[in-house]
Amino acid sequence: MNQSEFLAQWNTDKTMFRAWGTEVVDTVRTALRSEHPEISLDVFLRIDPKPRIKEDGSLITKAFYRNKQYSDPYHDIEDKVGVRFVVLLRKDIEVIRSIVATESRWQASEDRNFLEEQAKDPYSFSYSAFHYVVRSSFTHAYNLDGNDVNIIVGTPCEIQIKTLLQHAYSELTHDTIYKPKIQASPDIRRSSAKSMALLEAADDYFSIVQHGIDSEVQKERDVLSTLQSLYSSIIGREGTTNDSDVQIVSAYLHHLPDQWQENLGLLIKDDESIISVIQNVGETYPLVNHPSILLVIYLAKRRRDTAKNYWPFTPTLLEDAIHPFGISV
Amino acid sequence: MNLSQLQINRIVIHQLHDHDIEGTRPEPTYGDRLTVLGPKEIHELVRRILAVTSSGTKSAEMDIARFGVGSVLDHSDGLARCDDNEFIFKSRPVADQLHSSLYTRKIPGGILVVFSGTCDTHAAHVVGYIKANIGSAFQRQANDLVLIEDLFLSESADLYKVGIFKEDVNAGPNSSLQDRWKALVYDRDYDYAVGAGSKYFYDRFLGLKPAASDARFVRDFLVLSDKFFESRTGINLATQVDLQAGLHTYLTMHASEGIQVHEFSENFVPDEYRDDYNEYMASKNFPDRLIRKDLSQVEASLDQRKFATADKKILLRVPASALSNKIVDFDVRDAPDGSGEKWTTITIKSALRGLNESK
Repeated sequence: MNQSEFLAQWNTDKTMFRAWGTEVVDTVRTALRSEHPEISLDVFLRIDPKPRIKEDGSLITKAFYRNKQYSDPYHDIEDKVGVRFVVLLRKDIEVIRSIVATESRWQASEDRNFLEEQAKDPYSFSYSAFHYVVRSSFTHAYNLDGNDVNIIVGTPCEIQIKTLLQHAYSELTHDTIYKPKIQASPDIRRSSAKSMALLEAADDYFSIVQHGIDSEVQKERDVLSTLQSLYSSIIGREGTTNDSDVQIVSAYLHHLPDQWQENLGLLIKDDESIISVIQNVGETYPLVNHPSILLVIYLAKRRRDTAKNYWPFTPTLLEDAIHPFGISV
Repeated sequence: MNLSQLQINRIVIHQLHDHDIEGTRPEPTYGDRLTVLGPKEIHELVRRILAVTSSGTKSAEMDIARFGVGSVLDHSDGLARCDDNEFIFKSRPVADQLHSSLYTRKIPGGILVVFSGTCDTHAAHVVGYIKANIGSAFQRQANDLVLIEDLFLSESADLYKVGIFKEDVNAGPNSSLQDRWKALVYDRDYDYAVGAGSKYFYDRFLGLKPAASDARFVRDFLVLSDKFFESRTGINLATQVDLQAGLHTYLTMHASEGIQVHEFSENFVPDEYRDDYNEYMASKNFPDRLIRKDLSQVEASLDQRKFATADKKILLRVPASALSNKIVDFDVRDAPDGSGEKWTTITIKSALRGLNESK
């Protein structure tokens, strides 16, 4: 296949590759949604994953001018369409990897595994990412922008999975160091290795920070979910939960005694007016419709200093929240 | 007194005057119609009332002393049930009662707000009285300041006294008038709320007296507080002695006529134990209001503090005053033999009689 035949074939197939890349992105997104409903995709995927079709010039260069010794360049080049998934932390990479490796729509082969590369050469700090090539398992039609496009079996798409820091590194270095149109000097290579080492260390610290945040968030969720179930069981309807509840729980989280649940239960048992106030004054005092009101009432009645000192909003809002219960701090 | 879901349905306002230069106090100027307040104003009024009378404030529950015909309680009972028109006229004798209670020229007149409504889960009747002094303030209007002179119930001034009668829904149908109602008083300067300074309001006007149960509550306050100091993990003997000395000081020397859990904890209990202490007292149903400092049931206990070793074989009895004056002092430290036990050094700033004989 000479250069012009190559280009003609490429122009014919471009739409199919675009359709396949789009389908790969959709498939991963759908799997993320169904397997990890707790994940917000917009937050999890730090950069919107869009299929990228290789530019004509760059494809021709790769096929004919880069000493790659392809026997059948058109078919051997596997990154004619590519998709990049960028996540925050290394542990997030595993979520995508497991989807890519097990999806039945395609056959996946792992081209680069930076963990294995690092294990082989632990003293080197360089480009790191996971690369897969996924090939369509069967010939099928995919609807791209309202038109059915036929995708033939074996059509490849390259998937890169990286952290945000790995992505930043590759954005900086890829064109100069790994595709050397210009020759990178030893100084540039040394600096680049140092920056990669730094990023890897930063990634480790990010993970520690994330772990700490996750554990805090989990504690907040536990308290909030206790309050939600208590609220619905004693009031007979679900409370309205929103950001105010999260802020209130978060503000008081580290100032609750160990036995707060038990004490709150006893208080509600002792003081029948609490339930009745919540049932009756919701229209005038909106905060009583929130499950966190139970925590606020418990603290205002039993641990006034805590209620007052750590309340996250204005004092008037606290007074408004507790006045219908006949208490004041 | 549970004031949850307080709703005010009717309000009438009367004005009481200061003495004139001749020494006579003009008769009250009566309101001749119900005061109409919008939802925002009602909300704010309820907020002001609750800010001084709800649980956790320095309001005091009191016993009813006068309940005969013509007493404020008698009028209140009528005001709770009458129609709107009657409410205006039936509240006038109450204004007269306050007028005649202002027995010295020093006591200013002011505004009397009479209100009725309901509260708590049973929608119990509530009749309340607010005596507010009149002040002045500036109001900004565009670029000018306008002096407003008939200002009352302003939040920052806090110049008011509140008395509330609440019907007891648990009282039987044949109960006497005084058993069917409970009373609560707030006075801006709580030190005098149960003392002579504001006696005219709760006593001469409302016909109330300090609660007989106060002596028992003071005893409970002492016993429960002591128990908390002894049982709370983490309080060492030295802190315990300090806390007990604080309790003694609070009850005998602190310059107020009343006691209140939060006031004590704010002044004498270290931060790290304060909310635990407050919660402990609340869990024992100790009232979170002002209680008259009636020491009749605690004098003996206040005088002596007792300490014992864990096996109770060594007992020590010390006058509380000797602890607060540091004539007797304790120092608890780790045993020097490294056993991990605690030893106590007791310093008595005096010789002990009998010591030589026993050697």
